[in-house]
Amino acid sequence: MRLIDIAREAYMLNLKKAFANRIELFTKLFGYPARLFMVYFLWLSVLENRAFPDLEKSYILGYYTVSLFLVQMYPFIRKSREVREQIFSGEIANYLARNIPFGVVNLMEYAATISVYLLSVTPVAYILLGIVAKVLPGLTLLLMFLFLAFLGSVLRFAVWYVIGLLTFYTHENMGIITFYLTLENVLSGSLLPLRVFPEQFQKVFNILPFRLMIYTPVDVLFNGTTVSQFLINVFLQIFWLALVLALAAVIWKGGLKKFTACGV
Amino acid sequence: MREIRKHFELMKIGIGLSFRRLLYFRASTLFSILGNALFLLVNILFWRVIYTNIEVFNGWTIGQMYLFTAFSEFFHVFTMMFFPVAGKLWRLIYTGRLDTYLTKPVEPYVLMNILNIRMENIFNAVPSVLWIFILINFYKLRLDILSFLMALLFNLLAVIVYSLIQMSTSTASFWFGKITAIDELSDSLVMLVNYPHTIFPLYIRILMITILPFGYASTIPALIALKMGYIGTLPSLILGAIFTIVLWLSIFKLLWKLGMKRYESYGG
Repeated sequence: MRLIDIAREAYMLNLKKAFANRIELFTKLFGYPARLFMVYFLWLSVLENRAFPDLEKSYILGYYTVSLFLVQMYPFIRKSREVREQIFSGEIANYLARNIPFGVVNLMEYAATISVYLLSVTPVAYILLGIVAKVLPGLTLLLMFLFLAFLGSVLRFAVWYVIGLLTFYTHENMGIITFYLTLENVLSGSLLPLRVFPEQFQKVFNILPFRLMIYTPVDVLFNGTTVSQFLINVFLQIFWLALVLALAAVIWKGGLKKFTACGV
Repeated sequence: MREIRKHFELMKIGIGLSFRRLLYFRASTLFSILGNALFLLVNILFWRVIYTNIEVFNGWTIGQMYLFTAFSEFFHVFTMMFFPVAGKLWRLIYTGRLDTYLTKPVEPYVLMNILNIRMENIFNAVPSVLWIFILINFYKLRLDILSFLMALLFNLLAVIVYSLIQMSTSTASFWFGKITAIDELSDSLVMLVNYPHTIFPLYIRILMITILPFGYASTIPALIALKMGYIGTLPSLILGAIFTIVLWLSIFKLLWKLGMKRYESYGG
């Protein structure tokens, strides 16, 4: 019961903070079309050069409109750095002394931030999807997409949180961030839609959890899915999420043994 | 002369600190180098996939495009070396830590940048340098030292202007307080470095070498090194680069001056 109260309090507090910060809202609204602008011209050029004769313009532009919307839903890197700073400086002692669950507070901060993001950027994304890709998905498909996108985003959050926690062992996590970010960009489909890769690559992508973060939800939106396939994807997302959260718990427990209130 | 000597002394301290960091954060440095090697590999893979069915993309052969990726990587490495915290200037303002800097006989933003030089990031350039050697041998790219150095100079210039843009956006903190998401804004802009500007219509290309510096970050360096033509002659590009640097220096100085008038020490 206490845990739920803390979670609710943390969510409400962060929601107020997110709404109060007008400049953050503005940068989100600006950042999204700015990235889309770059991708738009790149792919226009790629398609004009007939680099992928089978790829339709509406699919590729729609793909990036939605995938960029998901990619910058939350500042994952910043969160990872914040977790690092809180551990390195010893600030997490405040949480430990008051018996406040550090992970839950961070999760609620994430939930509040994406709530504001969804409220402010979704209309822009939906309009852009209509204008740029001329795609307006039906309600069932939209709901399936939103559910998969939500779970995919939580999975991403969990991984980035774990990278933050690694500070207990490495003291600095910038290098790991650079490494993982590059890996995630390719394997999740945020750099290129996974279907443009050769078949051997796609077999590897299917085994790994990263495609569930971006590619799977977006692909469902444009190519549709069966109920059974949808349920399999949801199951896989929950499975990987449970695995990453278990890993987070192990690192946290082991990390606290190394931690002194003065930091690491 | 005294001013130069003062900055030189500070530089020595900054470089000393960065090598101490290298020794302390060894694991992270190693991951950083691996991360950069991976970033380069991913870029190569990206272009490999794009070139699956074509031989020339917007006038670039695959070998030339690979060289472009190396210059794009140099831009990121130089940024990480010389101005890794330029975009974090707002933190000094927001937290009021600027007070400490104001008591010192150097401009706060100069001191902040010098003390945060990360020379250890020079190792991140190793994969790109090796990649260029591979390109020269396997793709028979002809590069001469003078053009290459000129290309690197443009690269560095873009880094300086980009840091001025980051510091200019950071001054928004004088008016709006905490602006954590400002990094996202500069991250969005830095994407302009990763793809050749020949994909843009002419008016955007001109914008990128006059008002914004991103044309000088990777497209122009690669074209200069490859001795390929672009908009205008070399002297006109140099003039454009000087204009960009003066423009952003003036914008930053103006914003800083106006911001300092609003600054109230505690919490900016």
